[in-house]
Amino acid sequence: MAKGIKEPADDDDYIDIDDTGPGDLKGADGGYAWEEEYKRSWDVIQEDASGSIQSIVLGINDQKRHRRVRDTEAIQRGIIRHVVLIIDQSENMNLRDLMPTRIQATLTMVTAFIGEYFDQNPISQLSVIATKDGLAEKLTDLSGNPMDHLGALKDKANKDLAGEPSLQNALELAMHTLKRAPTHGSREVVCVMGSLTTCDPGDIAQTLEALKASQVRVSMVHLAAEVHVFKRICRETGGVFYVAQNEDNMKDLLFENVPPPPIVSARATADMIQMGFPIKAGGVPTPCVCHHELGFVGYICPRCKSKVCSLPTDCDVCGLPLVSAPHLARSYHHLFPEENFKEVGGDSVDSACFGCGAVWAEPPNDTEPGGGRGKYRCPRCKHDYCLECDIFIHETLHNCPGCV
Amino acid sequence: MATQMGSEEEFKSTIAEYLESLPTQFCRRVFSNPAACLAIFRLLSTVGKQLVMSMLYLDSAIKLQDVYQWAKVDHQPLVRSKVHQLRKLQILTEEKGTVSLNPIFREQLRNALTGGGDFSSFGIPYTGAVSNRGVSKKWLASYANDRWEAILHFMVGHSADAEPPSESVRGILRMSKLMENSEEGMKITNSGFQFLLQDSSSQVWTVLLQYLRLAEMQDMDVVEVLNFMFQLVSLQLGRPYSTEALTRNQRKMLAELCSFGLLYQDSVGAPQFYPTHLITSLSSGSASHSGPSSTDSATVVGAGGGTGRSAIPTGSKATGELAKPSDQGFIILETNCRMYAYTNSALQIAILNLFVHLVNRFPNFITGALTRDSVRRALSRGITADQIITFLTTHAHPQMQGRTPVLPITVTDQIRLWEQERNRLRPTPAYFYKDFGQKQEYERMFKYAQDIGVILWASNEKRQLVVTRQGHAKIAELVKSQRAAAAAAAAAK
Amino acid sequence: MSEPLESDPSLLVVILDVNGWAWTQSPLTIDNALQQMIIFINAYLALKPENKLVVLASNKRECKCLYPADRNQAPIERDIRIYEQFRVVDATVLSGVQAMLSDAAATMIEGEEDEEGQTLMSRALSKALCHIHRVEAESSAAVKVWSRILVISAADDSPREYIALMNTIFAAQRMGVLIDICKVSGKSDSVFLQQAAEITGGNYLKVDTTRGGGESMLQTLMFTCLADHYTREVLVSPTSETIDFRATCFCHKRIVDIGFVCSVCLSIFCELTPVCSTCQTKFSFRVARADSAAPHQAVNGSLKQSPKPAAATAAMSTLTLS
Repeated sequence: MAKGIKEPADDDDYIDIDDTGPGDLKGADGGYAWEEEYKRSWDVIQEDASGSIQSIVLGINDQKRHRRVRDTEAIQRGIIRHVVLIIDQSENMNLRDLMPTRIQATLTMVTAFIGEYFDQNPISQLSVIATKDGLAEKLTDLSGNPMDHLGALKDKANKDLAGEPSLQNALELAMHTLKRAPTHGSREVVCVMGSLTTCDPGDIAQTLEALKASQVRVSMVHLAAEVHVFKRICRETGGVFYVAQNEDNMKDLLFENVPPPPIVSARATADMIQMGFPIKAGGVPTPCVCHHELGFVGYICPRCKSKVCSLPTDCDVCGLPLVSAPHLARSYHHLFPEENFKEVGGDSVDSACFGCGAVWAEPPNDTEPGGGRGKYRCPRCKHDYCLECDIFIHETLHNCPGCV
Repeated sequence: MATQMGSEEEFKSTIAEYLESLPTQFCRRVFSNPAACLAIFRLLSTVGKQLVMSMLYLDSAIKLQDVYQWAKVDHQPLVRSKVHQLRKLQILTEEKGTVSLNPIFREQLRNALTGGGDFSSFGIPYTGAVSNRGVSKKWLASYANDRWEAILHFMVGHSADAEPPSESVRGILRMSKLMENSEEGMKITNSGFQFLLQDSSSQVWTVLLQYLRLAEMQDMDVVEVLNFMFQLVSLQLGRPYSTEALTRNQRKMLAELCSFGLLYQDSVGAPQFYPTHLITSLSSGSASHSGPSSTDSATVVGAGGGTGRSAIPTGSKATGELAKPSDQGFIILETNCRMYAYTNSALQIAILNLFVHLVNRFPNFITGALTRDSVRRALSRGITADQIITFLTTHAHPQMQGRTPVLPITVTDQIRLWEQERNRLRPTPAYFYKDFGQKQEYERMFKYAQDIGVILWASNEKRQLVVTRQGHAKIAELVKSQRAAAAAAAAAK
Repeated sequence: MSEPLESDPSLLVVILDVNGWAWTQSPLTIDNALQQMIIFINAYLALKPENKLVVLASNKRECKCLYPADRNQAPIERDIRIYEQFRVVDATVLSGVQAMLSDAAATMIEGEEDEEGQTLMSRALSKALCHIHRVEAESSAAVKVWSRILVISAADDSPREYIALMNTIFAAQRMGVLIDICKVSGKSDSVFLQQAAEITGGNYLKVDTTRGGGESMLQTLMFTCLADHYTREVLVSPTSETIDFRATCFCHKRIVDIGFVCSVCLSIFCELTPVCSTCQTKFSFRVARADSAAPHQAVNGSLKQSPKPAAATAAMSTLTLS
């Protein structure tokens, strides 16, 4: 598998901590990476004088932290997103370098991605496009209901792979789909490609110009290696291009696309969006308009009074986006992120972690450089937290217990 | 009674069964002790506990139908069975379609929760002068383990150099058929081997139940014994308790449980005794001695952060110092059936030797392999595949504990296959029909047997039929009636 | 997430509102409620030996972890009427609550702050989730610990807490933590906590204090909040009343069926306005709809200011439910 290669277009999107440098295939001693001697990772681990690998563990903790130190400015993010997901269904996806096959791994990841995407972006929309045999096929149209997409991915089985992919066709189709998206929302394409080639009817460079013109941001996770044209498209549209090293890495890379990207374009406009806040209805089982199945619980569209079975979604009858007030609240943490905590040493006001109540360990030895580590202080409320809580607060909770 | 006991669950149901078999007056007396109520409550299933708690503070009786309505539609049968169980235990009483908690049980369980009731129900702490010999938790743990292991050692026959356990212990072992008398002293039985494979709390339950039976045989008051047993279970580890309020029978029991290492007394007849972790862990679960919450639960963050070992209320710290290394899991099992065990305990090795082909022995480390022969040897002793798998799972090395499933699936499957191999022949009592006179008669019989589904084997060519014992009666009836009809027809002619 | 098994242990975090002022408004005294809660905790500990417990207490100024505490508060007594483990927990919790109440009373006289008590509920919930997170991170992979939170709430909602509370609710939902709410007093139902129970799948109970208090709170707790995840799969939970998820607009505080939402900061308005009052964004003069078919041109689009957190927080806190 190729070494993780990435081209950071947005500098807040660092993920590969072991990367040598952006866009640089040259190794440390000037040669290409594959010309270097094979490095055995276990040789790198050095025991210290006492035979302990504590310092290595500390280093790993640091890396863990480094990963999630993010830009916490209250920047404007495109909360309302329109994402087209392009899935390669060419024969290349049959390879078994990801377990069990590339396509299987991809479908599993994409399923997880869709769930997470709608969890974090409840009022956003998604569309899925598949490409094989030189053609692109739209599996689902832009929709705010995760069930549509998950159903389509399961339904089509998507197991029959054929021919070459056509990135150009897929991008054109995606662009066509996104044209309908209103300007206040972001327009994004996320590709999962396994093929090193693309079978296109025309000049893909023209498509690239068109993408740039219509403000579409293309990001890609490639399963095999870097391809110049793919990378260029990503770079020039403001997206990111990643090569996945393994399944876990692929998941990380794909999930980079879950939080809304910051808005960079000056063309984005603000709009007022008309939305419905339906009332939960119960009592008598009635059929819903989305699945035509009888059910007790449902939500009544305030405009056309039809019943849908889950939120958020678009009303199937009148097209009104239906959300509940908590759904809007779910996006607030993107707008007001918690500040990063700073690692501190020495005494603190708290006798224990302010979050979970864990008592600080005595610094093993004052002279040792590692003494007094493991405390992270919130710059606003000056309370200290342990590493576990620090990560938890920033990744899941989005709330500093001391500040609220 | 020790023949059919696999898991701890079964033991619990066995003690529940024992309680069920008690007559009503006995039950009332058992329930009159808050400690007993609490201990019995803990033996119930999760849903059963919830049902009891839901009704604990209801003063009026409720309709049985309403109780069933508490369950979701899919789970109604489950709740019905739990209600039935509670009624068998006489915790629930039914009257004209309404149910309520047994008033004595309700009052005493409330007392257990609120701290009302008799002041001695949870034991009387000993406040007199304690002998200068320090009885720490740690010491108690090693005392209990030594005692208990001595008995297990005795069972596996490693007692040559050690003193054999007391006569009462041997009596209980003999009575429970864990061991039997033979020419060269006592010999372990097949159920004894199964006993060895169980975790220690199951083993303690077995012994306690056995003791109850013994008490019954000796015409002791069972309720007295039961109440004392439940009281012991709820004592606090590491604290001395006074013997002053104990009855004669209870003192006797105290002495005998001391010889098992469940309790400790400085000397026979001393005014105080200490419970050991073997008995207190029965109520506080698995290995931790103080249950859900240890007060010494200061959590420590490791120097690197996050590496810190726990604390919140797991009590794991205390467990760590109590449990012997061998209790923490020492077996590594590979997918190729090879086994490595970090132990130098003769007992553990003897137990492993029951079903493992041991190859090498090093100081504190042995290697071996699960082979067809070694597993079959164990199976032929009545040990089941599930017992082997459970034993390996509970004693798996911490490195293996993190995985799901803990054991390699290939190995567990193979053990089960070896077990099934032995079960290729299944005897079924049956009846063999042959020498049918006419083809029609055979066919009529065959069709009838087929309709009622009792055919085990049949041959059309030979006109032979094998049916189950249940089917025989009906077939015989048919034959008789046909014969009679034929005879009548013949007579008419 | 896997199915809960019967043998899986639970972790219960009890959050006790010790806001003295709020309890004075309640027909149930805090002593009475505390007694009932202690019995409930004992019942919980009695369920399974492996069950774990954390007790947090919160008033309007601070949020303290009462149990597990740093030191054992229970002296050894000769008179043992209760299971040792219960006794330790009970004594620790009771002395912790008393200390907090007397502390609060002491500072009240000095500070002369406004009496209106609102409790730091979002801080307590955040801490509870931190505790749960730690326990779950440390428990072995073989045994899954199922966690839930029980909030005994007396005080009213504090609108300032809306965003923080929502964040904790969603975090709890993602972790599979149930939040049960037992609302003891207060002027009205707590809309925020109602949502917490609804979203996480817990129960919202309003203790009916008109029936003389008594043991009704305990019975309700025993009946609905004692059940662990497994039991809740088996038994029915009390059906919640219809919870209204409609929003209130920021401009007139009206409850809206169909509203207009700012695409930048998600403020809700009941009518078209040219400028978002929360983030000062100028809108294009056109109502966007998700189903608008034609591509359109932006009329004016420059957005220079980022949303101001302070202003937005204040405005958004009014986004309540009816």
